[in-house]
Amino acid sequence: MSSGDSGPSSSKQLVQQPAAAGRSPNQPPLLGAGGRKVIVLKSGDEEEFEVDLLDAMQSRTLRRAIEDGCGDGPMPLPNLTGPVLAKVVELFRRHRGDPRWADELQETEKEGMFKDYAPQKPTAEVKGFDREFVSVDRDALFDLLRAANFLEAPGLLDVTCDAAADAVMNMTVEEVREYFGLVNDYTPEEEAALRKQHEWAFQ
Amino acid sequence: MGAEQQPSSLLPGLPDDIALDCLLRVPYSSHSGLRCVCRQWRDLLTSPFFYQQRRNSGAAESLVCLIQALVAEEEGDGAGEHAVGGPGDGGGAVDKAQAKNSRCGAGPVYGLSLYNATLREWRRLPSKGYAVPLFAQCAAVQASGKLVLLGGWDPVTFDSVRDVWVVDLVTGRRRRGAPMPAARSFFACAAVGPLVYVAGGHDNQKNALRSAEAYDPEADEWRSLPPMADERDECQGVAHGGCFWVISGYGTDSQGRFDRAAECYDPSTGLWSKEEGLWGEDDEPGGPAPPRSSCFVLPPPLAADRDRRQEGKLCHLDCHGERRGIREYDPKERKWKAVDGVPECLKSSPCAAPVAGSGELLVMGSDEEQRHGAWVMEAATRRWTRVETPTGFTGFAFSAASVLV
Repeated sequence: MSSGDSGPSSSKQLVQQPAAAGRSPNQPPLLGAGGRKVIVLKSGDEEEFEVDLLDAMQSRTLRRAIEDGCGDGPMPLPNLTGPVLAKVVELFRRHRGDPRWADELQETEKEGMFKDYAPQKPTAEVKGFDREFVSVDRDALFDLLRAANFLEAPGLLDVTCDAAADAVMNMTVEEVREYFGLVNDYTPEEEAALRKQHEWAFQ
Repeated sequence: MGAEQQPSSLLPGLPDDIALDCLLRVPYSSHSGLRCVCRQWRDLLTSPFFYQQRRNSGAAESLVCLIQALVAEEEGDGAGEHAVGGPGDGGGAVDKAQAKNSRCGAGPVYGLSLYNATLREWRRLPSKGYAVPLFAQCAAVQASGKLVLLGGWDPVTFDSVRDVWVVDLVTGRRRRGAPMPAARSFFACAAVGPLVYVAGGHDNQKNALRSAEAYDPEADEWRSLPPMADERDECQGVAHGGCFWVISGYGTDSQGRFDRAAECYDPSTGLWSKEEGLWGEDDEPGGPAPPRSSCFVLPPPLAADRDRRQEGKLCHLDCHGERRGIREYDPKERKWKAVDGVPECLKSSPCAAPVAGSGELLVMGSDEEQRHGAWVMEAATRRWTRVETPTGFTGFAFSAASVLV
C-alpha cells in the first residue's frame, strides 16, 4: 500500500492508507472513506476552515461528530466565531502529536489509524506558541475557554485554564474581582478577618 | 462579552466546570488571597472537595513544613538580598528582626518554614503573635491537610512546653490546639491515620519519659495511651505499617547511652510491642533523631496506580563515620542494609522527610561551612540534587513533615 513511500509524516501515511486492508465494520465511515484527510469546519459567522482530520481529533466533540459520519460536508459550529475558530484550528495544528491528547487517541484507537502515531513531548517551540496563544485580553481568553469547553479539547483546555490561573495568581483581590466581574459580598468585618488571615499565610 | 452574569457562577461567563478547572490550577500560595474575593470562592477554597479535586487532577503541590532556626540575611552582601518575606513583607521583617536578635546572643529563634517541592519555592509563616518553641516538632495529617506543631522549649526560659498549634492548610486558618497533657521535648512524634502521636522525650526536670499520647486535630482532644516499656529521651518517631514507631532514646539514668530497642504502638490493638535490637547493632549507636541522624519511612516509588498500598521502608540517614549513607531496615533479617549514599557536601545535622506525593526525599543538613541547605533524592533513580536554598532558610532544621495540598 504505502510501499516504498517514506512520506514526510506518519500521519499522512496513515490517512492515505485506503480502507483496503479489511476494516472492521465498526470503523467510523469517514476514516475508511478512501484516503480523505481534511474536514471543513464552519463557524457561526459562516467562515470555513479546512482542518487535517488528525488535528480535528484533538476535540472529543469533533471526534464524535466525525465518527457519527457528520464530517462529509462542512461541519457547522454555530457557537464559535471565525476568529476564535481560526485560533483553535492553529493550536490543533501546532499541537499535532501532543501527548495530552494523542495518548487518549491511541488508547481508543489501538488498532486503527493512530496505531503508528508517535506522541511527542511539546517542544520549546510549541510552548512558545502556547504562551503567545493566550496573550490576549480577558474577553478573548474567555472565548477560548468556552471553545475548549464546547469542543472538549484537552490540549486547548490545558493552555487556556493555565492562562486563567496565571492571570489570577498575580492579581490583588480587587483586580481579581474586576477582571472576573465578581461582586464583593462580604460584610466589612468578614472581609477584614479574611484579610488578616491572608496576612498570616505563608509568605 | 455578552456573558450573562449569574449570581451563582464561579467565574461569570464561564461554565462552572471550566471555572473550577481554572481555579484548581492556581498555586497554593495564592489561595489565601483568593479566599478574600467573595463568599463563593472562600467556600470553594476552604472545602475538602477542592483539595481532593486538586489531588485528582494532578494540580496538588507537595509542601514540606520545617521547624527551623531562623537565620539573619547576610548583611553588607548587597547582591544577594532575598525577599524572603515576599510582597507585603510584614512577617518576614519580624522574622529578620528576631533572627538578628538571635545573633546578638538572645538565643536562637525558630520559625515554621514551608518548602514547596512542586514549585521549588521557600516561604515562611509570619511569626506575628506566635513564637515557635525551640525544638518543637511537627506532623502532618494528610487526610485533613492539617499541620500540627507540638512541644519543644520556651524560647526564653528553655522549659519544655505543652504548646500545640494547628495550621489548617485547607482553610488557611491556624489556631492554638489543646495543650499536651504533659510538657515534653525531644520526643517521638508522627501522624498515623487521623491522629498525631507523641511519646517519650523529657519533661521540665529533665526526666526521660515513658508516657505517650495521641492528639485528634479534628476534635482538638488528647487521648492517653498506655506508657511504653522504657523511658526514651531523644527518640525518634515514624509512622510505619499503620503503627507508631518510637526508635531508641535513653532513660534518665543512662544519659546519652542510646537504647537498642524500638517500641511500636498499634492503634488497632491499643498495645505497645517492643522490637529489640532494631537500633544500634554496632558499638557506636548514637541517636536516631536530628541533629545526629534522621529516621524516616521512604514510600515506594510512585506507582501508576496510586491507590495500591505498598509498604514503605524504614530508613535511616546518617552523615557520620561508617554509617554515612542511607540504610534500610530489613524486618525479616532484623538488619540494616546500606542502600544509598548521601550528597558529598552534606556533612552533618540531617533532617529528612519524604515529600508527599512526589516520590522524593528531602534532606536538610549542613555542609562543611556549617551552612544549612536542602537536598532532594528522587526515590526512583536514587539521584541527589541540591535545592537552591535562600539565605533566610539556611538555618538548622529540627523537624519536618510533608503534605500534598
